[in-house]
Amino acid sequence: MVDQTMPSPNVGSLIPPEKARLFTRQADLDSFIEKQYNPKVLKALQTSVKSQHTMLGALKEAGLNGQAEGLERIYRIHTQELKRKETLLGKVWSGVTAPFRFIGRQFKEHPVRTTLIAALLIGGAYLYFSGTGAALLGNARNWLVKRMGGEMVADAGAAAKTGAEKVAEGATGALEAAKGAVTGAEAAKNVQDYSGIVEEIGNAARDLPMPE
Amino acid sequence: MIDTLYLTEGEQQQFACLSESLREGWKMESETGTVYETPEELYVRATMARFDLHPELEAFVEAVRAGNFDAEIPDDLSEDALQELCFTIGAQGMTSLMTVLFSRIQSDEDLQALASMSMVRHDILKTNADVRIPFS
Repeated sequence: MVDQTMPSPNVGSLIPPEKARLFTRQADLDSFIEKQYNPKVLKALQTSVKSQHTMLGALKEAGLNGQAEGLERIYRIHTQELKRKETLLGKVWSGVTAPFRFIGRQFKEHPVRTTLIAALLIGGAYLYFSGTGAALLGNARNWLVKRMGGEMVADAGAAAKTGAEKVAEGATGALEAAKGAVTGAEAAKNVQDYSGIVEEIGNAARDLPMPE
Repeated sequence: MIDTLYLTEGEQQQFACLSESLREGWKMESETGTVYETPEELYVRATMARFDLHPELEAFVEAVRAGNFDAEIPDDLSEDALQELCFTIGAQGMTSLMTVLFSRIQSDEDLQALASMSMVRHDILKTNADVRIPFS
């Protein structure tokens, strides 16, 4: 998998363990932050923690005891994704047509189309949360393996056949025959590459988080 | 005019393996964005997707979600519908599409598509990085 949105910060490099073990009170931690960074950083951190406490306290007071953290988290994600969507569709891509035209054409091509379906299914993770979701993803994975693997096997076969036909064409076709054979071997290797992609897709589908 | 590919280090190596005639005329920029979507964020995008505003796309998406994986992608997808789709699958989905397309590049038209995908992914990664709400 590629990097995630919120990588774990390197805690040790921000607050070295040899310093952390000397903290016995909140004031020790604050003093370290103030010296290591500056008073403004300390103030911002204190404000952040305080507002976090205030927010969670207010949510609990409003009757969300036990759900406050979960709701706050999903609210933040929705807010973030709405803002991202607004930025991309409303500003960055406003009036932009050419790249989407080219992409649209490729969606009709089989391998890309297949991957698009996988991406949609992974994105549509809510299916996983429904009763039939897991089975659907399982079926999708089987379909993908068959489809993508099959396509590449067919490619390998066709390329190899082309190579053999060129051999039959005689000496002038020898060079082309060799090229065809190489292409066949490459296509066969691609079957393995495709399997890797499918596996990755399958893993991504399996790793989907369960609803809280 | 689309003449630039935004490629990661690994993709640049793949690009270098293409024939010189295919590579000719293309500019390359390093894709340094790393803020890909988490599964949770993709889930939220999928639930927020307004495919209902694009009936031509909605039928296909619904068919896929119902298990009909052989459903046909309509020919007449509007640019708006494609933008909705690209945002929904995110930089993660665009990378998957690029990976598959890379192994099939045979023409300048394929490279136009790859460049387009890389440009869209670049925009998504930049926006993902610019718009982040930290979690408590």
